[in-house]
Amino acid sequence: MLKKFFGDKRHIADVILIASVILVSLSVLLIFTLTRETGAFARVTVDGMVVGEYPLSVDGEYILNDGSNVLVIEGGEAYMKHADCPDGLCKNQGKKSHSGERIVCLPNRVSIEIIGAGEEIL
Amino acid sequence: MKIDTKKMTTLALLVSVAMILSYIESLVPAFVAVPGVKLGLSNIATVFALYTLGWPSAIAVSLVRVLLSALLFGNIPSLIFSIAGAALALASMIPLSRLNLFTSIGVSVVGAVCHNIGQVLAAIIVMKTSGIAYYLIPLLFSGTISGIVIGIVSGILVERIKKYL
Repeated sequence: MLKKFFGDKRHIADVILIASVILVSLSVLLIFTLTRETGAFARVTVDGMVVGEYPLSVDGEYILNDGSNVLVIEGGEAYMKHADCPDGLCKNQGKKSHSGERIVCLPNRVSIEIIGAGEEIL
Repeated sequence: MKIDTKKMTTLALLVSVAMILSYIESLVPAFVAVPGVKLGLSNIATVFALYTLGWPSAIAVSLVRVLLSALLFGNIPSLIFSIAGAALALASMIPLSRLNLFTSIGVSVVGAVCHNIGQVLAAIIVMKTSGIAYYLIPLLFSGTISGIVIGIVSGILVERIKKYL
């Protein structure tokens, strides 16, 4: 009965379709990587509210959300140094410096977004 | 579309299966790093309806599920994103399935990718910032993978269950 599904000739068309979707995704990735601009600010959002913006040009360590998270800006890059949540996923999200990039700490509802120089500062 | 009791019951069953599937999916905390990345198990019900009961039923199952999920678990922004995604997914899957060029796998991959594009477009419009477009890249890859999985599962289900409907 399942031979009818797995032996379908249209699977060749499926494979071509999936390959082209992946190809398009890769080209989108390439375009984004080539055109992304260096960010100017790190915008910190806690529970959907913007609580601060820190310039990437100034090195510093910032305590966020009553100490639940610590943001470090160093050499134009922002990263999460400390988070008191159990999974600590945001500490593994790496250093961010390009506009549009984000570090999200879901348990503490803290989010850091890199803002480009041209974008509106709140 | 003619609705008899049997069809209505089948549709209601599909909606409830879709909602149970999205609840089960929400219990798996594997996809935290990127919001919006998910398996989309509930799309099995939509693709199944599309192939067994026809496109009006697929629209009905998809929209009723989105509205009920928003009422029970969601909020207004998530409803807007879901509706935009579901609408674009249906708009791409319905003509593609009638073309009969691809199996449910190809159709569901296009549906999943269009669902993600719809969500990101809605997010760009609602939040008035194009910065979110950056999210599209991981979503395109995850959508392709989940589309393949959903397509295989619903293809098997259609083969096995169609004759009893």
